[in-house]
Amino acid sequence: MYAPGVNSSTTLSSSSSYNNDRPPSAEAVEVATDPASGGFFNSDYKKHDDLKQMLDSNKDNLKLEAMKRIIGMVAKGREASDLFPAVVKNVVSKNIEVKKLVYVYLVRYAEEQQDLALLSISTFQRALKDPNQLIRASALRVLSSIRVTMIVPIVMLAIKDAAADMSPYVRKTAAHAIPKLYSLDQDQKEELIQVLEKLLYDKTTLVVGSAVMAFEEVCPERIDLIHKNFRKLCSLLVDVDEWGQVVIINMLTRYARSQFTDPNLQDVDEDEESKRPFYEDENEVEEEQQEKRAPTLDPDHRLLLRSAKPLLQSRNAAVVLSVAQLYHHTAPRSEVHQVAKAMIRLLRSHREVQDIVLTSIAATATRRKVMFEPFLKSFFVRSSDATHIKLLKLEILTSLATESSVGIILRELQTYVAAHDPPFVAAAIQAIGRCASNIKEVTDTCLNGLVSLLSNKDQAVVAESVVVIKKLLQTQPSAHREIIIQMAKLVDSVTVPQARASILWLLGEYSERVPKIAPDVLRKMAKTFTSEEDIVKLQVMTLAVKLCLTNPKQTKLLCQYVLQLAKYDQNYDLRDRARFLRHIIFPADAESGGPTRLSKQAKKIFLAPKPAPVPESHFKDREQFQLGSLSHYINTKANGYQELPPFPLEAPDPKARDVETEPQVMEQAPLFTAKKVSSKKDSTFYSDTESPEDESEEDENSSDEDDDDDEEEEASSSDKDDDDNEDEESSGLEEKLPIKVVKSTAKPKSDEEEEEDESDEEDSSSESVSDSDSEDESSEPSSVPKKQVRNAKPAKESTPVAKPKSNLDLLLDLDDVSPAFTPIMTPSLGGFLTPMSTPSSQVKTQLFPDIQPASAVISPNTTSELLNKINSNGLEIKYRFTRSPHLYSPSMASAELTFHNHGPDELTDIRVGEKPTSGGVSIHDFAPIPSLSPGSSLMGTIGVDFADSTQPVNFEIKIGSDRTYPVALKVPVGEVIRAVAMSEELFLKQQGGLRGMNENTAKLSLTKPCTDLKSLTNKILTVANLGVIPNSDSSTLRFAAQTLSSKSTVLVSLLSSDNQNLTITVNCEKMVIGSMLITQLKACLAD
Amino acid sequence: MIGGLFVYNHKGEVLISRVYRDDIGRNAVDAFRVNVIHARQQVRSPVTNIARTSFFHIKRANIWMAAVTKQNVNAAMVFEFMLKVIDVMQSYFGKISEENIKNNFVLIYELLDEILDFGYPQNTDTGVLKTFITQQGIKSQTKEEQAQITSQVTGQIGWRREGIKYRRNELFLDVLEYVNLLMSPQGQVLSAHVAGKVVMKSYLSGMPECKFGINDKIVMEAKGKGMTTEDPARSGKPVVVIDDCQFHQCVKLSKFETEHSISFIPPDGEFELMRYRTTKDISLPFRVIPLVREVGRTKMEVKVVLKSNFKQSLLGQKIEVKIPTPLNTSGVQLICLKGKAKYKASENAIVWKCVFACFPQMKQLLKVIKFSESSAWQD
Repeated sequence: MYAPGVNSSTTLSSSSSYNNDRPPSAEAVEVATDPASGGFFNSDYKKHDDLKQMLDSNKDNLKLEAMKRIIGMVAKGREASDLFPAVVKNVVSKNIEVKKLVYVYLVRYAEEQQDLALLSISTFQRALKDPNQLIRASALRVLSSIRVTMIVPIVMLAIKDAAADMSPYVRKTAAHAIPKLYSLDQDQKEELIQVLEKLLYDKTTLVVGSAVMAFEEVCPERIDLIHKNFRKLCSLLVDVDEWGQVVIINMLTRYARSQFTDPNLQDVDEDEESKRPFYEDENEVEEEQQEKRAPTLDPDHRLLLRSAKPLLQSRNAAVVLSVAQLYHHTAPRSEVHQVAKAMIRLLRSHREVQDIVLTSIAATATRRKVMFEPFLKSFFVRSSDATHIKLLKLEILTSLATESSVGIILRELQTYVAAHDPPFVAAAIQAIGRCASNIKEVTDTCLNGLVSLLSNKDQAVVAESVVVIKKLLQTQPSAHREIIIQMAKLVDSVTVPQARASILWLLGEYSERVPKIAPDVLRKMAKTFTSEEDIVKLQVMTLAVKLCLTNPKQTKLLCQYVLQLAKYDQNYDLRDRARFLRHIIFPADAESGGPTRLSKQAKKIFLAPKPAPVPESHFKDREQFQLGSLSHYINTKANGYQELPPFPLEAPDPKARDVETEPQVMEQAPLFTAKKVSSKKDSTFYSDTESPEDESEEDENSSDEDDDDDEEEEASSSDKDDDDNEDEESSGLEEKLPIKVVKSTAKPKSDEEEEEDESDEEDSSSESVSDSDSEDESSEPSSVPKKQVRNAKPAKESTPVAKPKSNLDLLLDLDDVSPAFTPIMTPSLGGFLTPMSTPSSQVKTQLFPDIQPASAVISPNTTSELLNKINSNGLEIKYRFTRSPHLYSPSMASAELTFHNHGPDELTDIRVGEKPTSGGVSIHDFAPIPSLSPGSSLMGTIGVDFADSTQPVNFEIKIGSDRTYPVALKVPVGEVIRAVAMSEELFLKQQGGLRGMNENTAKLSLTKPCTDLKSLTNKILTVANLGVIPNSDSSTLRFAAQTLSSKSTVLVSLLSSDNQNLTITVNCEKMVIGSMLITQLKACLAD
Repeated sequence: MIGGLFVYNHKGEVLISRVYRDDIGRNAVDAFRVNVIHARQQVRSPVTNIARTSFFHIKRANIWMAAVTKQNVNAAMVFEFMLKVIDVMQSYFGKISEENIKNNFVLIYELLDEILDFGYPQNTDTGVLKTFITQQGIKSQTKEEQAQITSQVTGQIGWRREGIKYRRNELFLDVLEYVNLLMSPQGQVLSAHVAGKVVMKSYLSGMPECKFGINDKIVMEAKGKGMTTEDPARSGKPVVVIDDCQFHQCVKLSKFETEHSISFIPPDGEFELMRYRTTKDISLPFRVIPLVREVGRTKMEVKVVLKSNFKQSLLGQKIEVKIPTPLNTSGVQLICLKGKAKYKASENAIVWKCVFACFPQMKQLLKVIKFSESSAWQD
């Protein structure tokens, strides 16, 4: 049956790989069907002997073959445990393939053969020190997967070691091992949390995802561990692997629900919202408006939403859905709809995913109609959909129905009624009913439509319509006599019990409207009573009783007859009901005391007005579950479901999330641009400095990275430390930190435990020292950047210390201990950090030597404020771009700074403090000002290389020895370019090369017609530093410039067809610059 | 998280069983077989809950794959993961079939070990997996090779290995579009959208960073909004109105957000760069006009006219029209003016193929269907 494997190289018989391992009994038949495999000739009784022999041989390929066959057995669920000793021996095999398979086997059977499994442990311990990170990681993975309680302490140590490993891959594996150990021994929780805390601080994208997974599994309640990492998680989110993204977003959703206040408390006007066309709002302008409207949103909350948003474009449906649920649960109402489009896209995905997405949409749609209304047509049912998909779509369609859209929906529903799928048809009819009762305007139309369905040929359709009409008539107390009569006629033809019962109930309820027909129907039903279904019988009784009360003359006898029949029915429910009714309507002791109290009230009991049923979505009650979770899908609480906490009324202290001092101060400084800028800064701040990957993206700076990392380390270490340490010098910090960390890891371990392990540990620790030494040697000769080697050292030294031996040892080792967080960079990453693009544009400029830098014609005198006098206690700094090239470097834009001292005291030593070091941005300081007396002003010049971006550049102004103010220098797009002169001919040639994506065009009509285009020149030149290109044609204007840092050419041309209408074209290699410039030009020409 | 992963053949025999967590008993394998595979209900949801254990299943070509969990998981994630597993398996040994799975289960077992750790999905990128899980793993790697693998598994750019060299650097780009159309019986277009994807084949050396842009509507829409009321579509240039798009993981999403340019370091070989959807201004390539007439109680006449809407200079190739027929169809008579038409009882449909290259402006097909009257002709 199984095809023979490729094993011609082995010395064994040509039997198939999998056949000899079959247990003798059950498989006989199977073997017989496949004589070619040679299964006949294998002697069953010797069973695994040949496998054992192969495992004992010293040829790797024999061992591998044997292992493959054994794993084959395991995979099919056959018993292979008696081979355990033979297999375990091979754990020391040098061959990595054999090793891997042995690992797989071990994980499966270790639990059953604990004693033997312990034999293999020492191998793993050795492998944990292997120089190859892959081997270290897989050893840890297997070691932690072996579910033997005896080895818990060993695993614990291994995890602690690995968590401080240099390789992010090993650290990631350590994170995975944490929940494994936790499930094996819950007592380790406290200690594991400490390791986890370290891992959460990790800044590598590879690690954080797994760390959060472990966090969710082990201690989801310890939300305090997230505070310090919140901003980092947000900024790294885009770069984490897809599975990690899902987990992180889920966790952050819960975090947001517990840490931020409800953004919808001060309600944004929903009406206004619905009026806006919202498939077009994914642009920033709109976003800004939204921000203005919801100004109270915590900047961190905003950061979370903002950094999750790009993930809507992810390829992985799970990620998209996670973002959707994040927005659903935490975003302000006005922003939730942004996710709708992405969710609709998922409908094109695989059937299974489609099902999940539709369920989520169905649940969302009950509360947020507006969100999905524009996509109504996406939910139209296709004949090729599976039935459960169809039902979900129907559900959504009905939830989305509004006065305006109900017409289209009803037309669709009408088509569905003619479909071939009975459950779907039934659901469609019910959907019509729901539309009818939800939207008053169409109730009559629907009712008519349903009535016309009563004459449908299909029994099922008629039956379903009857049931729906019954419900509708209840909601409409007005007389629908005609309909009731028509339905009464159906009693003869309809056979579906549910429908018959509904008709009877209706007749009874509204019998006074059809006084002649009702008794007649009862007569007919009494005749066929015995052959009816139970549900119909019950309704016959109800009808009889009701008629008996309203029209006793005609029906009293009939009623008695029906009750009599019911008395002898087989069903005890019916008998019970009959007895009960009889006592009310016909009291047994009537002759003795006249009507009893009950029978007097009978009318009130049976003919009381009943509330109409309210048709509701099945999905309403799913609100309680987190969107997209399994619990939400199956609508029951699954194991381990964590409820989303309600928003707190009062937000917990946001300071808890502050990691570094810098962003905090920035927020305090009330810059001109206030909130928006500062929150934006947060996000860019992180993405610029932290992850190595980002750095490689930035691709200009590689030399600056070292400083960055140092800063990072200091900063994060400072928050680990107590607050009072913050002012100290950084070198002091670095020494202090380790003490703390070691203490905390050492504490929980009790002394007795340590003694037990001591001998073991000493061995291994000494080993580790030697191992790490050799590692050191191997890494040094390779051309690793210096910094990495430097970092590597403390990490290695930490290995012996991370193992708590005794308190005394700990104290002795203190000085050697490294910071808790190992360096992020590993030699292996070096390749990615190298700058990738050579400045190609420089080459380009050389190609066109005719391009000459030109001096600016106009220098704008608009000044902006850099530092406000109120923040700085008197010092006001204003800046203005002079458009002259800066002396220090031609790629810098020079800005003229005006210092003015408004304060009462003399200011001394004004200078630039911390400067940006990332993204290619650099600053050339102004000459420090030794003193500035009150009331006086001074000028200075600062040179800034904006690296062709318009991001504000942040730096610090220092006054004296102790005052530091963060400032942001904003640059308009017109100032990151420099005017150049070139011939018209060259201009056109260049323009020809910058078509396609590099071209931006806009049309504009002037408010007042201008006769001469040249008059616009000045307007344009004030906005942007452009050089005028002389040309002959009066209907065109041409300008040229270069970007400051990369010297990419920027070409602007204005063309007017008549005096009123203008076409602006901007050609630029840098698409962002091009599009921003055109926006700015348009704005300036428009007014 | 995922507690276990099982693979069954269509009869319900277990081909692969891998349990990751203790809370999943060994009998879970049987529970799924009995309750789902052997229960032959017509409609079933892809998630089944049996005794507080949830089974997520997908079925591909006679093979069932089920993920089991007792925990509250992210449902979409489980399905996405299983689809990925299938992708990975397909790229290793081609079609998913019982035969292939049986022949490769050592490999599958190894793969499962790598991509799922204690129920948590890990790196599932085929390119990376192929570097260190090899089918003929017998050859031992040299030191350098090992180091290379290592850097890739741990590296940030998981989808491309270093040191790729080609003598000719080539990049192929295909744009595939699917038009989806929903029409009412009256011939009114209810909804139409185009789902497209950009597939690339890259044979580039080193670590190239590629940039890719679309006719600027995306940029325009984002930047020019609010500043002008003019409609960019009227400016005369052909524009792509993209509703939304999704990208391969190699695309830097943050760059797309800020600059609206698609920049990426491509994986080696073939991959799908992006998917997109457009809903506005869709010109349909064809019009299909059905005319249905009932001839007596047992007969129906269907006339289908196919009109092409595209320019004469273009070619339509491999056009296939599927006309569903009622379940109780007993016989079909076909009159076909162009191409070939055939009634396929197994699919309950008539398949009409037009294989010629040049597509005239109009053509039609006429056919008559007969029904057996085993069940009354109801509607």
